[in-house]
Amino acid sequence: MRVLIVDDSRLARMTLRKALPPDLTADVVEAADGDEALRHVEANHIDLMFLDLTMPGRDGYQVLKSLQESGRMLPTIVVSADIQALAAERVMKLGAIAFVKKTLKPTDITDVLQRAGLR
Amino acid sequence: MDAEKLDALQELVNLGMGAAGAALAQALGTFVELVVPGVDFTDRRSVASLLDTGAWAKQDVEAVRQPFFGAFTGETLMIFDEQVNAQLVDLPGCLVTSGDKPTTAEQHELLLDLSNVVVGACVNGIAEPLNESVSFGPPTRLGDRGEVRAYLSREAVAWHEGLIVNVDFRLEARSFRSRVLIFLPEPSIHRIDHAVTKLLDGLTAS
Repeated sequence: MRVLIVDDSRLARMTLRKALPPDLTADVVEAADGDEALRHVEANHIDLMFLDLTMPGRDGYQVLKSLQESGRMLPTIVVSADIQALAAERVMKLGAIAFVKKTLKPTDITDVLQRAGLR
Repeated sequence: MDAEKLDALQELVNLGMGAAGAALAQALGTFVELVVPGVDFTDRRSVASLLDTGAWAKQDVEAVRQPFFGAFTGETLMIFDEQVNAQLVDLPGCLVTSGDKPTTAEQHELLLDLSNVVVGACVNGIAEPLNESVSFGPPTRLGDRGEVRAYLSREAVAWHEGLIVNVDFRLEARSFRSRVLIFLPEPSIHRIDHAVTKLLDGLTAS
C-alpha cells in the first residue's frame, strides 16, 4: 500500500509519518505542496493520501477539486489545523473520505481507516 | 534558529491559528479562511520601519499590545489596517448593545477581544506543544500610527529580536489585514530554541 503525505510543514509530515500504523510505513511518499501532490498522483499509483488544507500555493481544497475534476480521486484523509465545521463540510463535499484534526495520534489513524472501510 | 526549527515553529503557530480560527468563526458567525502564517525573526530596526513599508505605509492603523509571562516572557503587538472597524461592525456575532451601530467603545472592545483570541492562540500554539505554559497581562489599545510608531521604537520595550508572525485573515466576503508580532528577549528565544530542538529530536529518534 502506497501512502502519500501532503503538508508544507516538515514537522507535520514527520509527526504524521511517525503516527502511521506499522503496516502503512513501508511505502510512504511525501509532498510539500499541492502541485507536488498532484504530480505524485499522476506519476504513481497512490492508495491513500493524507492531505493538509492550509498550504501556500495550491491548498488542500484545490488539490481535492483538481482530483475530482480530472476523475483521479483517491481515498483521501484531510488532516487539518483548521477545525471549523464548515471546513469539514467542504472537504467531504469535495470527495475526502474523512476529516481529522491535527495533531494525529496512531489510534486516530486506525479509527479513521476502520470507519472508512479501509481496514 | 535554522530553517528546520523555523518550520517547526511555523507549524506550531499554524495549529494555534486553527484553534483561533474556529473560535473566531463561532464568535463572529462567519467562515474564517486561514492562510499559512509566516514566521521569521527580525531585529529592532526592521520592526521599527514596518509602518513605512508596503500596504501599511498608506493606511491608518489600530493596534493592541499585550504582555505575557511564564516560561516565555515577552510582549505581543497585533496591528490591524484601517478596514478593520468597517469590516467588523455588521458581523452577526458582533454584539452591539446600544443600537444599530457599535459605539466607539464597543468597537475598541471588539478589537481587544479579537487580538486576545488570536495572540493567545499564537503564543499558546508555541508554548503548549513544547510543554511550557504562559499567562497573559491585559491588552491595551494603541489608537493610531503615532502611538504604534512610538511603541515600536521605544527603548523601554525589553527585547532584542522579534519573532514576526504574519497572520492574514480573510473572513468570508470581507477582509482586513492584520499582523501579529511577538517580541521575545534573548533568554526566551533560547528557551524556545531548546524546546524545539527537543521536540524535533523526539520525532527523529525511532
